[in-house]
Amino acid sequence: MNDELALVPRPLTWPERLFLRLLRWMELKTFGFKHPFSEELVRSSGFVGALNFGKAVGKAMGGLEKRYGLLVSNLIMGFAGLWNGCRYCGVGHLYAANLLHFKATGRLYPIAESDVPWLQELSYDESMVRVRGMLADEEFDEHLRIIERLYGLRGGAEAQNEEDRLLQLALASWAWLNECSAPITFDMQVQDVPAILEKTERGRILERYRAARDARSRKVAARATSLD
Amino acid sequence: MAQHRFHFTTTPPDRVTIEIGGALGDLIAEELTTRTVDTLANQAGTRLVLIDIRGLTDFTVMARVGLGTCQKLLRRRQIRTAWLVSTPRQHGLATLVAHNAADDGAGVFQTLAQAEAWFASSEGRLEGIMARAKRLT
Repeated sequence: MNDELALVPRPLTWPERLFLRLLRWMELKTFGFKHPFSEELVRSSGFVGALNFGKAVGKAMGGLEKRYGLLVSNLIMGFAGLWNGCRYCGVGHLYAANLLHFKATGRLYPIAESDVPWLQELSYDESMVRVRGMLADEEFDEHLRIIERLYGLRGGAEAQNEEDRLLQLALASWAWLNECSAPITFDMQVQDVPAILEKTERGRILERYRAARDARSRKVAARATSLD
Repeated sequence: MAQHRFHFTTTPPDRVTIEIGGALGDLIAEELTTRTVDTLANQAGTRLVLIDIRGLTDFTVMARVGLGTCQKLLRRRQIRTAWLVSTPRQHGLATLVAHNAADDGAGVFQTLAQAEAWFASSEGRLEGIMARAKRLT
């Protein structure tokens, strides 16, 4: 289609290019890969905006990890991204939460990273019904409490305490991030999204997790076929 | 792919509601753009457009381009847009269209009340997101 109204993305200024180089260096050092949306984030936010974003997301991630640990932090970031329609953040952070849960318990988390696309196709309320069902075991009561609160705050509930204010900051930071990541990663497939976890955390557990998750998927598929 | 539905409602003096439902195929772009242009021509004072995609079930890449062309038309006329969505996937689609059209006057919402509040304000979408994050930091 001849899109005559198309915009040409503006080139980055030199401070923005410098900031982007620093960001990519940090991503490679931390995760071992580069996020596909970083350039768009810097372009959309501008140099000062990108600095402010770094401050906001840094404070949110630091606060979440300190309060909840890495697994629940990734659940929070994953659901914030999932609800904003970001495939990359939804899958990537749920994948990370799955790896951490598997590493700690040797068991699969009830919500797989591959559940993100179909959860995103449901209405918000329907998807929450399914999430409640998947986290029904009392082992996950605290996870569900936090996701419910995050959902309530996203819907406009007033913050009541410090925990709520931290969750609000996480929601605001991911709304900013997803403004740029959702358009760039809209068509990504689950298998193309990496676990957004430090490479040292991701390393050894990944193969064992994939084998266990794929075996579970095959078992579920075989059961579904036998019921046809 | 199943049939799509467009429904245009003009509310004088300054509002248009576009309901988009069903599955959007490759060929919708021209129809959507033409009907949008015609509707805006019939009400020159339009300042607010509500795009309700809660009934949207599926869409092709070319259909997305068509939505983007409409959004750019609205941006050029400085018309404030509210996208009304009911699923995260629709939220992502509306964000993609608004972002790629570089239209900061287009916001994405789950309720009519939120959309009305958006129409009553003058803050930009990204501008608002950035200000909120900064305030909470």
